[in-house]
Amino acid sequence: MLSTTMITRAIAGVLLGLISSRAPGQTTQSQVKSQGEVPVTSVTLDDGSKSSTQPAQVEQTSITGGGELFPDATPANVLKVTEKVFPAVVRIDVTQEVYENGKKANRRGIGSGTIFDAQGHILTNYHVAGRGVEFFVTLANKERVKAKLIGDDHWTDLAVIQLDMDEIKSKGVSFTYADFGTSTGLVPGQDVIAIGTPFGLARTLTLGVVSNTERTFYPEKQDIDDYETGEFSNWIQMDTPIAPGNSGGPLVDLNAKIVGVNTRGMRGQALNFAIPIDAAKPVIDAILESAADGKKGRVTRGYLGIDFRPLQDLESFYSIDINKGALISTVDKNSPAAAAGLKPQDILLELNGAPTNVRFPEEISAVKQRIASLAIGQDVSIKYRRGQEEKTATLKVEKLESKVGEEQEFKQWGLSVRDITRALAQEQRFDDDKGVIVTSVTPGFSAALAEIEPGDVVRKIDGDEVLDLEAFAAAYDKAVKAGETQVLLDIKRGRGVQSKVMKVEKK
Amino acid sequence: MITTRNRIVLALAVCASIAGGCAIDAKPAAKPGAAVVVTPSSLLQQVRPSLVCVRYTFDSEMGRRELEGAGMVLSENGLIAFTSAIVPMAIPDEQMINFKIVIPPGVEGADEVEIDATFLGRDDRADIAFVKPKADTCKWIALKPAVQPIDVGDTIYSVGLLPKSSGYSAYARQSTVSAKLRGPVKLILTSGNLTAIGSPVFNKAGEFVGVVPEQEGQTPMLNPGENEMASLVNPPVFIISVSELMPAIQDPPTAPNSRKTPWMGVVQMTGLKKEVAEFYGLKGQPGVQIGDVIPGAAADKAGLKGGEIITMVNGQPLERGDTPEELPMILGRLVAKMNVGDPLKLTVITKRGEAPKDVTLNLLERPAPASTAARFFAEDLGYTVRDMVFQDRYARHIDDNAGGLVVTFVKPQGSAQAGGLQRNDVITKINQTDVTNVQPFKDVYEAFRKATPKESVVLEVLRGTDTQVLRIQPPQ
Repeated sequence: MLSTTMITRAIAGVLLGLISSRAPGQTTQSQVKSQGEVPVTSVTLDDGSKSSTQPAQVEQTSITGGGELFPDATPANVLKVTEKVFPAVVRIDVTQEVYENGKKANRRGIGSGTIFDAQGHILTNYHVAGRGVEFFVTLANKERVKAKLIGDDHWTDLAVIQLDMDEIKSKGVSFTYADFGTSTGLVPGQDVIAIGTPFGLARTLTLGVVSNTERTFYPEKQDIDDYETGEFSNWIQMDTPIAPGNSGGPLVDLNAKIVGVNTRGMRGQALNFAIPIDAAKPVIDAILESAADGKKGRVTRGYLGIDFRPLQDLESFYSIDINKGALISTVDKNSPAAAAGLKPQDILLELNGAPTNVRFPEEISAVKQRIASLAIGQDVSIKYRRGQEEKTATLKVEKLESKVGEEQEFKQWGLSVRDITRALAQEQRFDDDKGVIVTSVTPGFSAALAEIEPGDVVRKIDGDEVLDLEAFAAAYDKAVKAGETQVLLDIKRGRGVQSKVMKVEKK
Repeated sequence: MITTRNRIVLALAVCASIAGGCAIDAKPAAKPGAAVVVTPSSLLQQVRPSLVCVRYTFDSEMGRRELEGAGMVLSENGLIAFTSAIVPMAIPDEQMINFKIVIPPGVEGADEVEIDATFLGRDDRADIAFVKPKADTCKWIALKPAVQPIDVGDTIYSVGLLPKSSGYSAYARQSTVSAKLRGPVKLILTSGNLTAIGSPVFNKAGEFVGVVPEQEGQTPMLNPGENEMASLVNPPVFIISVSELMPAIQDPPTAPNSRKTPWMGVVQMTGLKKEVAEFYGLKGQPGVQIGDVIPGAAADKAGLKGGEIITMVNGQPLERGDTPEELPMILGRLVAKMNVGDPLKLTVITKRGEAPKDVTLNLLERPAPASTAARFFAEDLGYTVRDMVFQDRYARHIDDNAGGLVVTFVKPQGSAQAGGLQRNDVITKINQTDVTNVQPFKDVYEAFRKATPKESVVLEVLRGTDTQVLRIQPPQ
């Protein structure tokens, strides 16, 4: 018999992109207030050419009884989707840059995406387009156009790419874009349509219903190639058939509005998951705002260093009212929370005066999102309870870091290394974040022959301390320039120090 | 289960074997050193009374199981040695109960004789363990170790016991010494065809010169439950010289953990590869690099640091292994054979190009292993905890003064498992009370369970670098 955990892991484990085989995770909150999306009305490009049409708003089909209205799959509504969204869905052929066997390597894959504005911006998944270096987009009219990465965010598994507008112009190609709706107010049982390019097949439309609007995989944590993901929102679960290659494509309501991004699923199990569009919107905004020429757009998030568990069934143990407070489980070492003296089993009552209530697993991501949206460097006041005592504290918000640091290849030595971030040092219980961590080695080359292994932390090169990736690169350049044939690396493996001598071939 | 093929092999083996008998009926062993040439048949007669089965009950949370292995009588009052693979360190001392010495059924059809025994503990100098009879009821015939060199080409005989399913019949096999290997334990390669693990090995003169140690692909058990005839189909190939066992045989433990194991207080050592050794100016000389020095232990007191390289021990170069990986084990064995309080002179290189320096440290006692830690099986909710030992703290970076208990067992489908408790979690709080060690935890736990049998127990545990708050709900 499968345990619940195993089932959760199995469900959470399948990404839909053809690109990545690793598991991420995601979450959203039905309580999130609708931001009132801003519909794009202008479709005229800078040069005056028309690239898209914005059909008139169509009245929703009303359903009476539940108080909520949602459109269902009438022929008229289906037609709306095929007319408005179907043409905005694209196939994305991606070349990602990854480090394997001590070298930069290309990984090719196919995913889906939706053009969402007149500037040719396309929303897709991080696991499809993140870290991508080359993109080819196949439009609805079967034209293939180059695109570039605007920004990505592994925490939410989202990425934005943009069509090469020069190429669009010079080729005289037109495209259509679709509108974002809202994921707030989605109802289980409501008809939804998924569109994408499963297995690279040209745009494919499948119909299903919303199964659950606040799916969480708690307590499982997910990652995409080691990159953390899925902590700041719940998922829309739907039975709409999707397959690898559907990743990044839209989940659409029968009003022809995008309500989610198809991201993962269990093939053949009618259990599929989409990122709610309301969780995606602020990410898209942040990416577009921060992206500049040559600089990737990214989302900056606040960090306090606490994790939670639901209070359900523990209220009487802590003598606390039902649905009040969030139980703190982990307090990261050297975090703002640790500095303020917070401890596991403290109950967080308020954050900047507003209550933080986590009774159920489904409520965790909303509180995490609130912390993430705090401005870096800002003081945040909290109220918490320890035992029967209520306390207050002020914490300085720090920047949320990934445990995955910057990576680089060093060809002559046959290895790739990553910067050690504070988050990685914390997770691996390193004494500090000095040094770099080996991510892969090239079989048969210097590092591999010296028995250097992935996971080793390089602390010194030829006796000089290596503080970070920059220092490692400098030492590498110096050694290569000097034509050194022997390089001494002092590494840490586990808690032990080891010396490794690399023999380097002269070039 | 004995397969048809195994039956045939077994039948062949039994042809050459004679059932064992109670030592009381046995003839005295041949004098060691006698310049006679034995035959397998006479050797079998001579050795059979000195072979017994050691049996005990592994009393774990999941139930009881009898484990058995081959033992050799080493003294007239019944000191019996057997491979410590029968009593692995993973089994807590208190879960090994009811030790027995079983004398196999006699040739004359006598029943097997079971004698209550006391477990004397393991000796990590030779990976052997000892039992002795509780009462003096039997006259024992001891094997007399003869430290005769064994050389390549020598004919040897091993004498072993067949598994329980074959009535522990004694059997003999002939082999030839093929090669003598280097390493932490000096294995001797033979042409194979040896009797099972724990068998004594004799030279042509019938002198007890070696034993068959634990080795890959072999079970040390006489009642393995499956593949009973594995050692007959694929016989062991390695032996070790009896000289390797001598320190343990001459000074056997008197009670479990009675021998204080000496310890340098360094961990994560690596044997230097040739390139690294040469880089440090060690031409053709083995070296061992210290990975980490444990604060407060012998090496730390002597000022040794992680990264330093040990080149000589007590003025002698380190013995060479077959691979650099063996060097730390060779050094470890060397230290294990010394005693707590002994001075140990190490010659170490701190920096490339600097002259080696001599450092003398006084060996301290190795921290207690997990098998000796106090435990508590909370049977009602289905989990076991034990005191933390050095290894637990070191692996998890937990301070010496921080309290906590290691979860060693979580019963499948039990309340603790349902509440999310996992093996290797470290419990730091119970119902918001700090946990120190087993006894106070047990007191708090039992009092709480008795007073409020339906109330949940709330545990704070460390799992990796995360803290978890777990609610263990008793059956309602």
